[in-house]
Amino acid sequence: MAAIEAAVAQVSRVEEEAEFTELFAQYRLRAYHYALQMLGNPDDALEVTQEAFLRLHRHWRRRDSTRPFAPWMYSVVRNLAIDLLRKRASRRECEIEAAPEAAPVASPEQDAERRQFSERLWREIARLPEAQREVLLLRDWHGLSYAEIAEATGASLTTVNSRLHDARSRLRERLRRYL
Amino acid sequence: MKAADSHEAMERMLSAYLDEELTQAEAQRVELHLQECASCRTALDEMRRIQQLTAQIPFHQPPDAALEAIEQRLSVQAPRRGGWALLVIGIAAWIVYGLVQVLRHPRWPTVPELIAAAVVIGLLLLFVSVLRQRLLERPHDRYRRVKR
Repeated sequence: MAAIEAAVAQVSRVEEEAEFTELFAQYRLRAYHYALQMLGNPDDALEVTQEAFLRLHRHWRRRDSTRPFAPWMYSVVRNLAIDLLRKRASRRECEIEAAPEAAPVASPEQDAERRQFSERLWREIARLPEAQREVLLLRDWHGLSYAEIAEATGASLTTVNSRLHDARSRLRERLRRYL
Repeated sequence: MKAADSHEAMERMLSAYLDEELTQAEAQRVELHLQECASCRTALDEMRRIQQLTAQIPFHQPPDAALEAIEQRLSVQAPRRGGWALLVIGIAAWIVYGLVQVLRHPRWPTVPELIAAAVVIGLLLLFVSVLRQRLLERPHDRYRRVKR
């Protein structure tokens, strides 16, 4: 009986490991990009991504499996990134403006125009207050719902809604002539 | 016109309308307002354009090798934890058993017992060495105090 229970537990462990590996493959780039958007430095972003997944893995078997993975992952990345930002507060502003890389080419003119606008847009997003910027990126770049953003950031739904509205209003004001 | 349906109130709902986060009733009120309000239509179009362009900002892609290295660390983490636990339990059990045997039947150890004792002491030294290294590195772990 005990042998059967041990075998079942072993199978369950293997299945859980497989599930985690699948989620890692699915979310690793999102975690990296979220860290990069917060920190502005690829090396720091990789370090935070690694630490975040090691922590998620450590707590994997004790997690509440009824709750979605994405908000949990984003909140772990966020906590680690904020901790790092606090420690290097003086360097933060100059490093946050990670220049976007070239997008796939449509035509040379269109490509140049698009790249220019992407850079301008990113500069304006980087100038937003931190709370607004993170909500905007979680919604528009990462595609999270308001409920998921609220869970990941610890803010209320009303706050998420209000920050998004304010972020978009500011961007509209600053970018109107390019839209 | 009710205060909840004022231009300002409707304008504040545009963002959630764009994200399809309003209730059906709220979305209908916004749609009615949009039919009459050119400035809100423009605002909604601009927000939609910003949303589309934000989603397309191309960020730096990490090297594949870096992501694979993370995956490797994850794959060794679980068995390593189990291995360490078994090693500690095994060594402790072996030491206790050896001490009990020595106390119950005091005599010179046999060659197999000496070999077993050498293995246990060797593993114990390795364990202490790794533990010492971990403790020395601990103050430099910047993530140590981060809340989960």
